[in-house]
Amino acid sequence: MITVDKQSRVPVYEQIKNQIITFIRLGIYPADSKLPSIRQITSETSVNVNTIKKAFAELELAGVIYTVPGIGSFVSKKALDNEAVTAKVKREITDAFRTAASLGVSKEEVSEILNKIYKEGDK
Amino acid sequence: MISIDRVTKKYGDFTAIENLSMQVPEGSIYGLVGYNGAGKTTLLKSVAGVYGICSGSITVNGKNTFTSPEIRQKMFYVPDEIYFEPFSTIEKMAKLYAGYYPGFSFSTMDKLCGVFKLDKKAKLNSFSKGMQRQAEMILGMSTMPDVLLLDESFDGLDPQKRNLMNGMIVDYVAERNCSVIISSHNLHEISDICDRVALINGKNIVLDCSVDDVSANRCKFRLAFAEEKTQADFSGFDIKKFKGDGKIVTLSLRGNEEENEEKLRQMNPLLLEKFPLTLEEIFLEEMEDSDYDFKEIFS
Repeated sequence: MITVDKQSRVPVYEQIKNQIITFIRLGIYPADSKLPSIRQITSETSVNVNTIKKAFAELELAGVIYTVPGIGSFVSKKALDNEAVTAKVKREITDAFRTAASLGVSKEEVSEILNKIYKEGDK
Repeated sequence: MISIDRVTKKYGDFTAIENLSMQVPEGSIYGLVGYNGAGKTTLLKSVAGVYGICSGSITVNGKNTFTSPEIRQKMFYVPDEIYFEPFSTIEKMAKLYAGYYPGFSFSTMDKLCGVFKLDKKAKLNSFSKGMQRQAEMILGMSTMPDVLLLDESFDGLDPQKRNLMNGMIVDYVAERNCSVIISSHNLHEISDICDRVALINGKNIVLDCSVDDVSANRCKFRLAFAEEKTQADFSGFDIKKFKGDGKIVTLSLRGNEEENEEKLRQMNPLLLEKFPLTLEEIFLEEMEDSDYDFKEIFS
């Protein structure tokens, strides 16, 4: 279930890549599970096949997924430890904190929000 | 002020628009959207006084547009299909329009030709589609209208001319307090320059609101859960559109955005993303059945 925002400034292949990484991180696509096919994502999103292939190719190059010819693409065993996956998360968190800092939110306020979110998760 | 009051227009047995009402105040740019054949052109031509209507009334500042020639002198309609006489030029057309529109300004026309870099002595039929449209728009603006009706007027323009045209319309409206109705399929553009938008869905208006409120009371969510979910799990929501494949679900919901988000969070999703709906998505939702899996046809 990939969705694409065609008006976003983020390139479409990048959006697809990011979503697959997110789903792998969340455990929705566990190790060795089959990813939706390129053809299926094309039908769902009306995005050009080659654009989706590019997203898959980059993920494969980074070792996040592997492809079995004629069968499909699968999540790599060590995808969760993969640098491409961890780097994305770190980048996003860093961006979020930078935004907070540039909006004039203090460190104390940030940790207050942080504690609240993690507390909700424990419930 | 354009007042369209309970208007019905039939062609023989075919009803193009039925009991349709809307109002366009001065200084407002109204976007008219709807599928092909929804009745947009019929409505614009009826407002322009080209077509007589079967019932209801269309007035501009209280005057009937079909029967009052004096109000039509303050109104300009740019049709979707532009026709120019063979051998005519912008200059010749200007003289023709000046005879009909008392407010016609030759100096405005000269300046606009300069901005759009159009040769006013060149034959209009040698112009490309986009250039003809620019020429017609320049002539239209030079009549200094109080009411401007544009039918697909951005069709065939390159991005730079499109930008110029947008700027020209917005500035003219701000300066002269003109009322504008624009029909377009470019929903992105409508959200850029219009302040209100009306969606025609077969004979009638199904959505009429300010551009800023378009996504009020609707929101799109994407959720991921640890276990599989079906539509039945979301029975407590007012669902406009549901797409799910097991653990990942995309939902379009009506109702208060924050309340919906709160309720969804209580279902303990692993991931919750919220997207405001664009005009295009709302259009597609209202039209329904716009998703079709063509794979089956082509395989």
